[in-house]
Amino acid sequence: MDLKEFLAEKRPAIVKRWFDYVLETYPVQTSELLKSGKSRFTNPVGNIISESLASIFDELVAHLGAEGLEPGGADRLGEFLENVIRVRAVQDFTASGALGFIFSLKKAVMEEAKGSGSLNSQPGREEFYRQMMEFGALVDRLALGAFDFYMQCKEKIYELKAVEVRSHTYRLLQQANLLVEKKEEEEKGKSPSGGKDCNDCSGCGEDQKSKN
Amino acid sequence: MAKEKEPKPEELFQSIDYKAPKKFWMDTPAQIRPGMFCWGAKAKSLNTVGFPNARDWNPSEENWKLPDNWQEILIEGLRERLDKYRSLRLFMDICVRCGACADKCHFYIGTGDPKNMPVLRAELMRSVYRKYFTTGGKVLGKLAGARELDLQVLKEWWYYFFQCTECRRCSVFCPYGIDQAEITMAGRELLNLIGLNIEWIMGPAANCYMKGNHLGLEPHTIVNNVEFMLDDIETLTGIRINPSFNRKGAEILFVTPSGDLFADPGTYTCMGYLMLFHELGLDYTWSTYASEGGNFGFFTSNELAKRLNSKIYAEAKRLGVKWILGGECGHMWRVLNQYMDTWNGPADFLEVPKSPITGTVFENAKATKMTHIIEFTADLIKHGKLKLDPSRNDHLNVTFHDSCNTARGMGVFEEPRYVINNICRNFFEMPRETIREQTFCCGSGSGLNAGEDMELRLRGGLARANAVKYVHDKHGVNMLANICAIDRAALTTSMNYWVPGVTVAGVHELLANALVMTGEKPRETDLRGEPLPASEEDVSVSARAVTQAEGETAGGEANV
Repeated sequence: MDLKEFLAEKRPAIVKRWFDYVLETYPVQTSELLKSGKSRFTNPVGNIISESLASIFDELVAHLGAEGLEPGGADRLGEFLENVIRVRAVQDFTASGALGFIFSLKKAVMEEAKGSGSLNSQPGREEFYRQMMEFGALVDRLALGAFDFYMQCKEKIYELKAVEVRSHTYRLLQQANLLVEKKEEEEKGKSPSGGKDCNDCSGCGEDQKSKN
Repeated sequence: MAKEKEPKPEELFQSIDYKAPKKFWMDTPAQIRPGMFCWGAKAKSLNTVGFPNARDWNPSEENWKLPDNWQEILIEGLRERLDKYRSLRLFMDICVRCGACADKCHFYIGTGDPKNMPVLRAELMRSVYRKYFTTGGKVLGKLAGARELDLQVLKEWWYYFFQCTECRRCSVFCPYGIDQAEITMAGRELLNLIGLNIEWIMGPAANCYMKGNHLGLEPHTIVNNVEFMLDDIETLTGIRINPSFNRKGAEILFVTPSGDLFADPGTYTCMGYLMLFHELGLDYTWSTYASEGGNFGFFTSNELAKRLNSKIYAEAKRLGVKWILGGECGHMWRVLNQYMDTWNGPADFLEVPKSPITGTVFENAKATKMTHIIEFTADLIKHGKLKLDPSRNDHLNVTFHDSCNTARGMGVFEEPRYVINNICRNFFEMPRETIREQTFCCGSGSGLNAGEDMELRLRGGLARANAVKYVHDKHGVNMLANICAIDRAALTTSMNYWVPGVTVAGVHELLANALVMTGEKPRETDLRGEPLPASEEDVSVSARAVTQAEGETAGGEANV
């Protein structure tokens, strides 16, 4: 059987397996909640994961055999991936733990193929493996994309910490005359950029001089 | 952030096991993970308020520098509280572990850590209670769900009692009405007996004790901060406002969380108060001593909370005001509404709050003599006392987050919605199971809005943010309104992570956008300097019949 047809036919079973593998990364009590039928508002993590996995799977299958992802498809895939990574990036996982679920899609497909006997039927077996390699490569690309999203999330968390500190103290610093307004610098024309398009007040030392 | 030991490559590969361990909860010790806890309270802060075992310590280190007899102190402390608080004894005894609360906690929903289930968080203390205070527990031990209070258990207490925001959502669903917030409060009180608090709470509490507010702002700084806002208001409206500070003989004392004075976006809410009071010609004063409505003492012990709260009545008495008006805040109102009267009352030197503009008597504040500004403002609008141009908020699609304390602690549901519907034309509710009494916490309440526990806060904020995302995607919501200072700070961060494109504002900021002030110049921007949408010629005047402009309203409460 053609892999694409196989994936389409076995979609519910494969997505369920994949979801179950993700659930195994959570404590037993928690996985019970995550797979409960509760609404997307009372069980957001479970719903985000299950919906994202299903959508990611559909996008991958749609693009299996195609030259590459068309722009719209890449955007959609990115969005679904981002939804689930955003959650796992703040949960109790190492980086590998947070992203390992991507690879378990391969396992889910292989297990399903074994169970259905697709791997035993000659002469399609070789072709099936060839297509499986192609699918595996797609999953690998997905994992690389996931890693980018994961890093973005982590960087965002550090950015948020910095922004909070600034927000908590900005008024006080302003009042203590410890901030130099960019506008003033522009008027004086002292900044290295000649007062134009300079958003970086950390490097030139002008701030420090004017404070002192 | 705590520095973790860097793993060796072979250790890394060994640790790649994506399956969670299947162990009984008692056999799963708490791992103090970076990003999930706040720094320990400093000696300086503990000394300031006279708390025991003051020393600098680091929760990520093995040695917490505890007194030798710490077990004895905690067991005796628990005994004292079981005798003193009947509710605590009941909560220790009556849980049947039905599980109704289990999936209601925003931390459990976000973290997936079973010890964040309210039932299990309570069980951390119950297991110790059984061991030392019940016959079954003493005899049968673990079989009866009892366990010794050892160092591992102590660390678990500390870790998880500072992973509860005391939001009380779980208590709404408990058939027995067990209030997990009270268990957390008792747990934190006990931990304070041996110096185990967090600096994000103790620092502000100590500042509050010495200077009257969380940041330790001195009187001239407070006045200067307000002056800054007045400059901005003048630029915006052409009107110079001259509020008074510490003025004896004013009719009303205004108290708000100090977050409104110095941190964006709370400052915009504060500008809203200033503009509203000016427009009304309200006879009120600020206090530079009662300069904090919030009370982080509440997250340490009842005793310290009472001490910190006492300044409000003391200042009202010193200034000789008739009643007290309070700004938008969450836990501040739980303290004021439910504890202030019994702690530091009766405030028999004050009068029952009566709006000088509408004559409405706020009989719901008969005991405390302190009224929430959202009730005060809703009453003004109801009586047609404000000229409003809601089109000035047309660039905003607004939703409203019910703050846990005002919602579940006070039942303030309708007033903010009434105000918002009169000042904005695009209001969209979040799904029913995430608002009003079922509202989800911002994830950073009860003194947990520090920087070092950002992962915890973001996990805790997921449930709320998920509902915001729904209305953001469906209706284009770009403004999350609320009436709580911690919400304003915490949700701004949470939205930034979970739902970029949604900003956060206090309701009185939006009110000030819409408020047509006497003698103002044409507004070109909103309070944040954002250009206003094309303004409309006709100003919609809040033209409700002034049927009860003078005298008390029927029923006495702010009748909205």
